[in-house]
Amino acid sequence: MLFNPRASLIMATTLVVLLLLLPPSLSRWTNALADPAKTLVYPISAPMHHLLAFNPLSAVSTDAEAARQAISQRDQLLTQKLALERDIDRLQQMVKDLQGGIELNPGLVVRQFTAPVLGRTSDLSSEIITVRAGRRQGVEPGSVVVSRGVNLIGRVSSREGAVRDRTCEVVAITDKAAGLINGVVMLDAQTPGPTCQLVERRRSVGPSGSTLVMLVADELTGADAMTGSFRQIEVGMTVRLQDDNWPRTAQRFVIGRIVSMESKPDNPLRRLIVVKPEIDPTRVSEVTIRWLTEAEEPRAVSPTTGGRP
Amino acid sequence: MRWPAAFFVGWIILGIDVGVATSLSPGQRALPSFALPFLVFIALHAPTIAVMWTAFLLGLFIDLTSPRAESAAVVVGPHLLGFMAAAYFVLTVRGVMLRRRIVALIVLSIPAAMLAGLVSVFVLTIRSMYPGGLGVEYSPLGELWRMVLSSLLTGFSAAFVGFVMLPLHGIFHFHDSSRRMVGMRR
Repeated sequence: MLFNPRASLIMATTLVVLLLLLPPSLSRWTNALADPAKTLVYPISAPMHHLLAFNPLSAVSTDAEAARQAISQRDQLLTQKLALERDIDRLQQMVKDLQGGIELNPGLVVRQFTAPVLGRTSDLSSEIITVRAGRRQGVEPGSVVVSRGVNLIGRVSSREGAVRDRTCEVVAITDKAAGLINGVVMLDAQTPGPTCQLVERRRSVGPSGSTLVMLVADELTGADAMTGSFRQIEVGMTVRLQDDNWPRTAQRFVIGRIVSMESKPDNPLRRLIVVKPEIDPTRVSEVTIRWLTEAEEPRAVSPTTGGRP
Repeated sequence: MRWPAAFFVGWIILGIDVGVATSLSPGQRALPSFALPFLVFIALHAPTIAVMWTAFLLGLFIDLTSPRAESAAVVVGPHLLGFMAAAYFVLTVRGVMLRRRIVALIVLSIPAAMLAGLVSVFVLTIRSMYPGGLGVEYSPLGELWRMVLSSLLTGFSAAFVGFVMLPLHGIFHFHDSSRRMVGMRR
């Protein structure tokens, strides 16, 4: 018998033991046997590895990762949706305001232009704001400037150089350069009450903003005694513009709301009302400039005449 | 024993051992062995010389495919001698075991794996005393602890191997010595 299993086994085992006892430098040739052995074993080990490498927990982990990404995407879309809803609300409010401004002066062909406020003058004693709209947009000196459609901010300055190609200066109603202002106290949304006249501007650089002190003019004539309007004036009532020195497009715009009432120091029988603008002209970020395109030719107002170009 | 069947099944078992053991290893510290339960299965049924040759070849292939330091030589022997010791242990005790039971395979695989691991650690410890013998720092105590854990994990892999191997018992054409003893040849 050529092959004796028992003797061969003993011989092979002895060789292995001797090989183990050899120094590493003399047994390095065994590296040559490793590659054929791997070539023989690896083809079957790789599929087994892939087969059992499929771990249901790792699949769950992948699903969890996908879920996290989906939640993140949902949050981003929700944020975008909320931003769009906010934009829609803002635009709807703008349309409403613009339409409200037009309704106050029916029959006038008014052009409106909404523009952002670039800033205010560095001089704290004045309340002049700079708006990004100028001659190129058709802005003229003396044009009325409002915010949210009906809240009077001021007028475009008539000073030379105040209206430039792309910007213009606006004199706020709380600035001394705006001059006298006459108004009317609204007893309710539709009923005008006694007229009033600006007598003083109280400046404040704080968060409360400037206020206008107005003298209730009708008391001088005694009309209030007959109509009872003097007694009807209350804090919180709205004061609207009623001044022939202002353009017709500005009439009945809101000057502000009565925040307090005082007696005139030198004449206690006369009442002073302190009016605070609904919107602080120095803190507004966007305004609407209105001007007449055909000043003396009133006609039906077209809804297409206003708005942002 | 029918050698082609043993070679084929052994080849698959080696593939599982090399490719899958790392996937099942908790923390890569202890590795379950699939080759050793297969060896125990062979040792429970096959003739002595066949069992020892099976242990020799399985151990040889595991030694040759074991990872090693890049600059070090392949160390042929630790698993080979360990598997031969384990096979001899099973050959010694198989007479008192119910060989066709998975429990027997599990019960024998754990101490057999410990014995194989012990021999392997001993051989590698001796080898590590040579300058550049293993190419890496070798900690015998750490390896012993890892060997114990691996032996316990091998109990689980023995259940899997037994579940697969016992139905395939016939393809190996083992010579049943117990039947021959009472004159019941098939």
